[in-house]
Amino acid sequence: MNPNSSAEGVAWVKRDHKHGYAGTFVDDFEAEGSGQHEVGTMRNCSIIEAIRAAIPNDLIEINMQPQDSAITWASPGWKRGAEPGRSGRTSSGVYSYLPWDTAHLLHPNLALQGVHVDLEHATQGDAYCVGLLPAHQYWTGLHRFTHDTIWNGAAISDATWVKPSRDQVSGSTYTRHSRAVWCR
Amino acid sequence: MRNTGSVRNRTSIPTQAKPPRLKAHIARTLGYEPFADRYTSIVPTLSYHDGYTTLGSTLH
Repeated sequence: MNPNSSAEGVAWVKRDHKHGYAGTFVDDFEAEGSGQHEVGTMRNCSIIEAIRAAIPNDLIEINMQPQDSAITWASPGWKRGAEPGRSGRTSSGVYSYLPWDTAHLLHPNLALQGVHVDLEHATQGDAYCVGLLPAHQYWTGLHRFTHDTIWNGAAISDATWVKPSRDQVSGSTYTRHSRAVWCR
Repeated sequence: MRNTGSVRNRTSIPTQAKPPRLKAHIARTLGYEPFADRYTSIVPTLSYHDGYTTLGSTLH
């Protein structure tokens, strides 16, 4: 592992903490053996662990593909850095990687706390599957939505329709301005 | 004439104008630092980092 990469990540989260952020969201966490973008399980877990050490009381949310979560969950470094009891939460995307109804059965077994859904491709049936996830938190990607779309309530209304109870919605616009909202 | 139609003005959530509405309807937001620095005092904000292209990019 390049020690500079961990140091850079730690510097970023420390900067964020100083500016009042509640925590950090690590997207696109990759693991060895997943078949795509394999940065390396242990290296990525080490980064998560380093981030946890830098911001011990802040929230860390990690988004990954389901195949990555199956690989990383047993890692000691992962458990030290991201276990839910230490304000860590993990989610995984489902679109294009496995059917939604399969994700519904798979996610509890992987101890994931959420599902990251791309609303751009979601159908009503997909949303229903997400709603069936028991005792988990659901958040929903709002890819390609604009600031105005989120702000005028259209996206929020769509997202509210997706999840039945927990009222947590996230998303991304790829505009490098704002990516997500959680609504209540 | 003062330019009031800057990109920043057009794309920013009007946080200064509507913080009560933000607080009432948004439990948490997620944004790119440093742009989202402006939200942290209004709603709990997570900072976005990409594990592959940024945190992991220097691993290769």
